[in-house]
Amino acid sequence: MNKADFLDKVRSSLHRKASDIVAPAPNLLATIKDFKPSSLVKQFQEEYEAVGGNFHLVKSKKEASEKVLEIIKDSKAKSFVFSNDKLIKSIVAKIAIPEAKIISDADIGISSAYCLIANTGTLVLESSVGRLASLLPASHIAVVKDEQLVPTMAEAIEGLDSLPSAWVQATGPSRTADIELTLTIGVHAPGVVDVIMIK
Amino acid sequence: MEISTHDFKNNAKKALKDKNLQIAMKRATKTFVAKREKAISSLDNFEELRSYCGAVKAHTIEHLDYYLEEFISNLENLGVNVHFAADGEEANKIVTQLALEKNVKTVVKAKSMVTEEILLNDALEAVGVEALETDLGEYILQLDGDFPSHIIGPAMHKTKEQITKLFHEKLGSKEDASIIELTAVARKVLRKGFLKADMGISGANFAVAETGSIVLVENEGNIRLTTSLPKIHLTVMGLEKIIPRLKDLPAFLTILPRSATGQKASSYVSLITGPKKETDPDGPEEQHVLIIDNGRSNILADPKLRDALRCIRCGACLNICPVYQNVGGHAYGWVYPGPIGSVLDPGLLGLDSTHQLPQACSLCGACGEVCPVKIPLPELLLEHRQRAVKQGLSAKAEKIGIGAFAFMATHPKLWNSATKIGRLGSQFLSREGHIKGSKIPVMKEWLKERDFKTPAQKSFREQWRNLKDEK
Amino acid sequence: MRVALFVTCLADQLFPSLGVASVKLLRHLGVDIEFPEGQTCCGQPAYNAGYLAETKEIAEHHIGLFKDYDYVVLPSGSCGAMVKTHYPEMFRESAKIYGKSKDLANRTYELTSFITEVLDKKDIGANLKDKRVSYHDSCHALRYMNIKESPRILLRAAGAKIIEANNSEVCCGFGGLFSVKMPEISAAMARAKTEGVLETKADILTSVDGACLMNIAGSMRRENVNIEVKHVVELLWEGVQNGN
Ligand code: SF4
Repeated sequence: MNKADFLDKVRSSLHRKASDIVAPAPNLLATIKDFKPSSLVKQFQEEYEAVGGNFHLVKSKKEASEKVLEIIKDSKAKSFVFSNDKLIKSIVAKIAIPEAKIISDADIGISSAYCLIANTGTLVLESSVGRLASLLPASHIAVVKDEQLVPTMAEAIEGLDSLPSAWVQATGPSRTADIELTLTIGVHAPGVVDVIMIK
Repeated sequence: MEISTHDFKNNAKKALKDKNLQIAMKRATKTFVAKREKAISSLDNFEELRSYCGAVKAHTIEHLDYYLEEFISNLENLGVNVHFAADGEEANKIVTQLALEKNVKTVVKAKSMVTEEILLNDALEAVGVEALETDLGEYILQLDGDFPSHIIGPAMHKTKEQITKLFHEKLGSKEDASIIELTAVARKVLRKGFLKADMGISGANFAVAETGSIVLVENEGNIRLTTSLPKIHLTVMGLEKIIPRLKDLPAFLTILPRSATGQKASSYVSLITGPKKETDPDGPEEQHVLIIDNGRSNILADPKLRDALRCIRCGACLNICPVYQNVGGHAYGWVYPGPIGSVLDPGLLGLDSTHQLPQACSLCGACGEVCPVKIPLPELLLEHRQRAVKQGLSAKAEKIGIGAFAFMATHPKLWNSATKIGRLGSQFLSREGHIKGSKIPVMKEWLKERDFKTPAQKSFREQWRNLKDEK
Repeated sequence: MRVALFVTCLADQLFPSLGVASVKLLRHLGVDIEFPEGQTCCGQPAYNAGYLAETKEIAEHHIGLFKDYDYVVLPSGSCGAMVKTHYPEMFRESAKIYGKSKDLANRTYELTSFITEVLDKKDIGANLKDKRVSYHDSCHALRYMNIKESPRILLRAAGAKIIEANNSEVCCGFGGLFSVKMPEISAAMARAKTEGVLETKADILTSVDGACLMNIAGSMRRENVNIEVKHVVELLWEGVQNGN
């Protein structure tokens, strides 16, 4: 079916003409009232930990690099993949860890985030820095700054003039409950997730 | 799957005797209901958001031509190839042709009800393209040659014991593998599929008209992989998935996961807006969107049923439905089970072959109460019942019976004598104060699995004569 | 104040003791209750089966019969929902009857909520001390008439101990003709209901709807479960007879 016929079918089902005026869409009656704007860091931490994420608050980029190293040591990971941006480049430059030759072989992915949503403990990841570092490895470490926090998704999308090809809101580790609704962590995407927040 | 909506009653009887199914259903629906309740009560203004989302969806449906056009032109501007199909057959033709043209050998699929509806996997296999389901639940079903029984928990009719056995037989996993081990096995097998696939096929939870974005909600990460790794990404979506603006999305993303799985947020929400940009390090080079009608415009053209197109497929009405809880999804005989299935299926397939579904309901009203977009499900079920009567699909005996009943109910004298005869008659069938076996149609059905107390000798109205003066 | 009893066809024919208890309880509370003898059925069975034309005839009969009363009281949530919700819905497009149906809807009360809302009473002088009672929230009372508290308030004031079943708000499976059109599913639902009640270890199961109780009791008897099943109005009247 071509586009014109398809739209015509829809239009005739609605008994409308193409020229008919469209009533304005309803306005948001309510905001999502489950955030505490007074302490976004604390709320993010609570929510993030509640879904099984590990949260670390540090004071500087240097401390952030050290934290990365600490997590890596504990995990016995050998190869890594990084998102393509300045912050992560400077963080990993300090600790010299090997980049995997084949991305899908990497044990841990380290990336930045576009912003963080406090009321759900969510990282917003976007495609311009690459999608795979936060997706393919079994572990993901995100290095972020506290000023990137917003209360809810509404503020995250406010004032955006265009969307990246992929905007991903990640909340905690990959999980499934497809077998008897039993929660199981780490199916296709990272099962271990850490956020290192520079304050 | 073969459509068996016409045979609901027999399907249901079988389901009630299936021990594994009964165990699995009780475990799963109870958990779903409890989790939903908890997630809803932690939100101050769920009711407000529910009204808002219902209103936005209703508005979108009323102006669907406008928003579809906006959505399509935004897709085109983004460089997305947009396709249209009137029905399943045409949709399958478009997808298989695309796959063959692009020399696709393997397709990875993220869970999509609309592709179940049109049997896309079969069509792909028929032209030699391997279609791999990657959602764990869907993968389990594909391994077993089975089909979904729930719109968000496709394999919830299976017990873990059954799945362990299945994986042992098909994938050589341990005989007593735990759920964690089973999941790890699936990850390994499916990861290979992801890395070799040439095309990823997803559905869509929402489609944002204003931006041309496809919104996908999931927990496992298989949708992210499906939309990121293969060089071609195809979205197959029903024409009703549209929402007008990006700023509408947060409210929907607040009520959907809470209603569906009782989560505040699903693990991953992906907004896909066009193919990979030149400066992006990775992502699919080509994006296609296939918009499907397949009966939906019939529902759209029907002002009374139109509300059903608001559905965001959260599954809450299934979980809360006591009929669904008892018989499971397969009994309904098609991809959309439970209350919303009993409303949609007659709209999509016609009432002739589906009129048993709206009868599979005690009109308890629980579904209408949970629906996050306020679809008046009980009213729509009744609407179907009324249409079935008008179209002469109800049993003859019922029609005569109700006619006689209505006549008596409007003629009190006749009512009195008829009911008196009935009560007297019942005394003859009575043993130990209860009716013993009966051949009278309605009573026979009742007595199958329940007793019936013999009515009192004197009706209330007969007793009233003395009672009146007692004061 | 003229108050009419709509006894409901099921109570009239199958469990008249409920009608008797309704009259006695209301008289005990000083209400001079009348019983318009031309009453039959509210039409719900026809309505739920999809027979709209037939239902409208019955509804018009019912509306006419009760037009002169200040209140119409009935010991059922289900028939109450029919009159209060579905009558006006059904006559949405026929202006004249719509007004009358709306008027009747406003005057119609389920019996326990009539006591708590119109008579504004909680303690009705009933004694149900030490009785362990589980209350079944019948669907139509709960979802279409918003009746959750009234029966509980009266039971509690009478000293009964209410033990809530975790499935108190789940349908018992009756559903009118549904129970005989799909008897296997209906009975499975009744058994699930019983399971929840058994977990409470209550001695008595009660509700504002006799039809649900008939269904649950019928299933319990078949399954050899021994719990007393009694309509809340009969239970309260029994409490009144026990005295304070
Ligand atoms: S009808 Fe409502 S409750 Fe049922 S699946 Fe659709 S959105 Fe969810």
